[in-house]
Amino acid sequence: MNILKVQDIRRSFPQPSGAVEILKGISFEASKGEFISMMGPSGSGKSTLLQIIGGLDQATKGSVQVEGQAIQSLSDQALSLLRRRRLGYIFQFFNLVPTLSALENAALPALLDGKSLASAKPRAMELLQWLGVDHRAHNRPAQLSGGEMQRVAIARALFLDPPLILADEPTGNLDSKTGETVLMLLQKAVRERGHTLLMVTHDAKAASYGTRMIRLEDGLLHSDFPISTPHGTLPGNLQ
Amino acid sequence: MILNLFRFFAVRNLMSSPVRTLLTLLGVALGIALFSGVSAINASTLSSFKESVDAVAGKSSLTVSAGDAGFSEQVEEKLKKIPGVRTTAPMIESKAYYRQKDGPEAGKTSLITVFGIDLLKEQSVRTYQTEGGEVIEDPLEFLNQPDSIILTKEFAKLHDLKVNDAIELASAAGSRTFVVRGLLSPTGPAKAYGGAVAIMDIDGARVNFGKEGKVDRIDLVLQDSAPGQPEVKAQVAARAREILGEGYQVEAPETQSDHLQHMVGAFQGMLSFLSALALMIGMVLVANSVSVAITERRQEIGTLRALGATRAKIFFLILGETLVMGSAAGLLGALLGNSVAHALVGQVSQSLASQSGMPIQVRELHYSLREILHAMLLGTSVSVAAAFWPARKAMNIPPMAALKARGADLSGIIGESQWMKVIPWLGAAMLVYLFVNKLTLNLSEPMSPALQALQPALGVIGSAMVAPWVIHYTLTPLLHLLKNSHGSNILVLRMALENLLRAPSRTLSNVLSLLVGLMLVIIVSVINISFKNSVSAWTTKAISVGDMALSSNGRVVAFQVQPLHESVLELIKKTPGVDLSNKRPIVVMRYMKVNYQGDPLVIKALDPTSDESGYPYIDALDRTALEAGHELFSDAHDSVLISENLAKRYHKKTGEVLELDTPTGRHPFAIAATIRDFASPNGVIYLNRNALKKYWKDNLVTIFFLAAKPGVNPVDLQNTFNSTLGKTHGIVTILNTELVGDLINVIDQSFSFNKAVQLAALLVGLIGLLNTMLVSIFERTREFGMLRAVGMDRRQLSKMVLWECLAQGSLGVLAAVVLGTYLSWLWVTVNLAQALGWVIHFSFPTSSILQVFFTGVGVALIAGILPVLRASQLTIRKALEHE
Repeated sequence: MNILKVQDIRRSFPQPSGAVEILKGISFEASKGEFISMMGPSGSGKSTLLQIIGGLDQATKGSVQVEGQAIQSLSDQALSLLRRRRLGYIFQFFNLVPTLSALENAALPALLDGKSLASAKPRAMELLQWLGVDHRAHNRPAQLSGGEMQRVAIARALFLDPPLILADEPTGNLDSKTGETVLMLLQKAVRERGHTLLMVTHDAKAASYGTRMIRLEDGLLHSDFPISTPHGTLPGNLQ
Repeated sequence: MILNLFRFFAVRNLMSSPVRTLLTLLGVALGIALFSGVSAINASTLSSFKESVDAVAGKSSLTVSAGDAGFSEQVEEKLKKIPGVRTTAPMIESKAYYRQKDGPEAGKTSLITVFGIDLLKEQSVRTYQTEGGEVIEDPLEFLNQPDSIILTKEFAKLHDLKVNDAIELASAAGSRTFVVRGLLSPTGPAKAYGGAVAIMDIDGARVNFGKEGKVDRIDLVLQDSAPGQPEVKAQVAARAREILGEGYQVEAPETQSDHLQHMVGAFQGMLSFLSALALMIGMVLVANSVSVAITERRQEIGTLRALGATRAKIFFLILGETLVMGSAAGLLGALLGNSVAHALVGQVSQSLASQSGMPIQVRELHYSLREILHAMLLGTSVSVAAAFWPARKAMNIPPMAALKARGADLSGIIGESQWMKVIPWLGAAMLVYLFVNKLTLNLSEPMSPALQALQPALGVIGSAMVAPWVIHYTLTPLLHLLKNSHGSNILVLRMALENLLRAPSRTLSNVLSLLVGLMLVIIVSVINISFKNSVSAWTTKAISVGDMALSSNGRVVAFQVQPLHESVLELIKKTPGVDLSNKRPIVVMRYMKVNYQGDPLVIKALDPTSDESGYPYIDALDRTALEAGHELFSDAHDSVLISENLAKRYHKKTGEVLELDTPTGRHPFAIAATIRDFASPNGVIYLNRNALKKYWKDNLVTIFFLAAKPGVNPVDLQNTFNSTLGKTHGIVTILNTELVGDLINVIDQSFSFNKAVQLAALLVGLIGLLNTMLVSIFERTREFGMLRAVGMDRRQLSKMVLWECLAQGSLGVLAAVVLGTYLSWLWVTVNLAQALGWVIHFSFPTSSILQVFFTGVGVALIAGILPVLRASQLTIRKALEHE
């Protein structure tokens, strides 16, 4: 089943010297349960593509369908709801709300939806426990380590059980050991919970955790191939 | 290197944030404008009055006077004989009121000071030039026509009067017509009091103003005007005092100006203090603006440090930026200050004139290059002083920490330091000190001027310092309550409030910007309302003996009217409808100023009335009104009633003796009771008018209070007076209700210019809030982008920003209400009592609290519009890329 369909995406930015085309017509599809690693040199357009897929930016041309729904035609309000309910976003810098506890950060999509913390708490605690940070549930981001913050960010992304998770350099701000743990958790989420994950990374080792590799170069899809033996085994307590 | 840093970073930084630079500049400029404008008004008012005093003094070195009642013209002979006196010039100086008959200002009353002069003697003291430049030398024409009056060209032009026109002025016998015989050029005494002066023959003036056989002042020209003159002056003054005895003032012109300074000092001080507060808000704005600029440029500063810029260079770089901005703000403030001064000078001088009862008119506002340079220097100094602390913080940024700024919470730079924990305690200590001081203060003990000035400043600074507690202890329980509620709106509100707690310094500076402005509104309103309530309650009681007041034309409510001959009483009694019973008698009062121990006091001399009336016009504090009135009018001995402020100021109490200096010598009066009376900040003495006639030789009456007979409508009686005595004698009849209304208007007028100060302070607060909100949006761009990325919609984001603004507005209101009410209670019960000498009862400012609430929330809403728009229009992609 296709979760994501990207068709002929083009994106150009106006510059004084004329428009610069960053994406020059990218097309691919992603099925349920796929962990796609997207790589490419700086300026190849991978983050821009991720933002367009996540409804954070508009393509100049082409279409993106999430679960068969074209997102270009959605209003700003509908896009907000899509991001809240059908997409999970994981950032390089964690981007937790500093004034909320880990538990509240994890439950943020539900809270934004008007749900009470009491009703969201069991799910948030379950995810935090699953990610091994339930003991930090009542701490604020400033009191957490980088790895813990990113695990809370993953819990937030998984909270409403979205079919598609987008991760932009999720290990870019972590040390290699913590980064590996995070990647294995993402892998676990895809395997056990059936999410589709699209991860942008610079790091070939990080990319090797995926099941499929897409490589962009100069705004074009350079290669798209499966990874036969994905990397990584979670530590015992997180398995 | 520092110049290069300055050129490449400081100037460019100012230019790169034009909105913030402009808003900060405008805020500081407004504060400077108010401060410079008010200072210029205060200085110009005093110098105008001094010029007037000098202009009237002419060549004289000493002036002899004895209060409003004047003194015998025979005194001149004694003065002439004093060795060292070359010549003497007697004068009647009367405040008359001219009522415009025609034109657009018909009915408007203008104060004009009429000098009754002896032209033969005047020439050696003062020079008068007529329109053609001729010196008035032929007094015969002048003397032969007692209805002659000479006006100044300025006054004539203002009121559209020409030579040979007839004008009506209030005289002791009622309204009287005078003929304009000439117009004076603006030289000599014609320059005094903004040109609102007139001259007439001294004998004519005596008759017209009820000063038969008397003079108001005698000016002495001394023999030696060159070396050794101070000695001669001192000797002549000492000899004159010796010959004349107590009851006379022998003063040099400069001393007379000092009296005014003494009288209006408290008022001018309050004005200066309020404008200084506006300047303080400007300083908060600069400190805030520099702090957020440093936060934004943390990486840039870190890079400079990493590349070898020393701490000192970073420090001076930040101060240099502020110096440029402060100089520009100073220049703009100086230019605006000129406009502020011109806009407010009329109101302020009018307020001062009504308070002091002196003809104060500012002829020329001194706002020269010197004032502009002062303002510029002030702008630069306050800006640099305000930037000092943030600049110190900037220089302590470690290179590595700064370079790691990406993605980190940037609020740390203006975040909480150890000082933030200590400061509220210090503030609380200041406020507690003021409270303890209030409880232990003996109002009869004069407070030192330094302490008088220090106390209001301590109050404001202390309030500003405890503001963090107000923020913390309001937000924390509120957030606790919200934690148990749910819904996306509650979440958004919670996040907004959490954001305020997260950056306490930023929140504090926003709240402070509003707090000081709103506190100003509350304090001024409380003083105004308390004053109005106390004075109008007392006035209502004091005039309850009758239904109306009769006097000559002028400012009846302030007793600034030409007193009338007592014979007018007979005319009043003959008017049908007047209650002549003993129960509601006609109260005949002479109001005049006298000197007591160097201070101007007020005497209210009353004709005896029967005990049957119960003396309701006496607001006795330590005896019944009946006992006080009975003793005051007793023939057994001379008695007085003294006001509570006089009792406190001079340590007098009932049963003791008050010695008063009169033109006939010093006389003892038994103090029969202490009373409440707000007519003078120094004190009021109630006297039997018979004593006034006996010791001051004064038979005039300032005002008659009377009642309508039972069954007669007071309005009908007022109409009767208007159509009889009003037409024949220019007598004005004012109903009690109108009198109280006029009184409230006078008080409101005295406070009206404060509105401008409040408005400016609020404007500075608005600019401050807008500035920091915009910067706060900028600072949290990335966070907003993330919130949008995880599903927060535009409306929720806008609400969050709006809640932040409203919460800060509400915190400003809350802090202003709590602290402003506390401070105004202290000021009304302590500082005003000390400065003005009145005991005023504190009135809770319900209406102004509503006003403050709507103003604070309104300002916050206005300040929130632009930030909300900016936040809602953020592009998520760009926001996420923001560092």
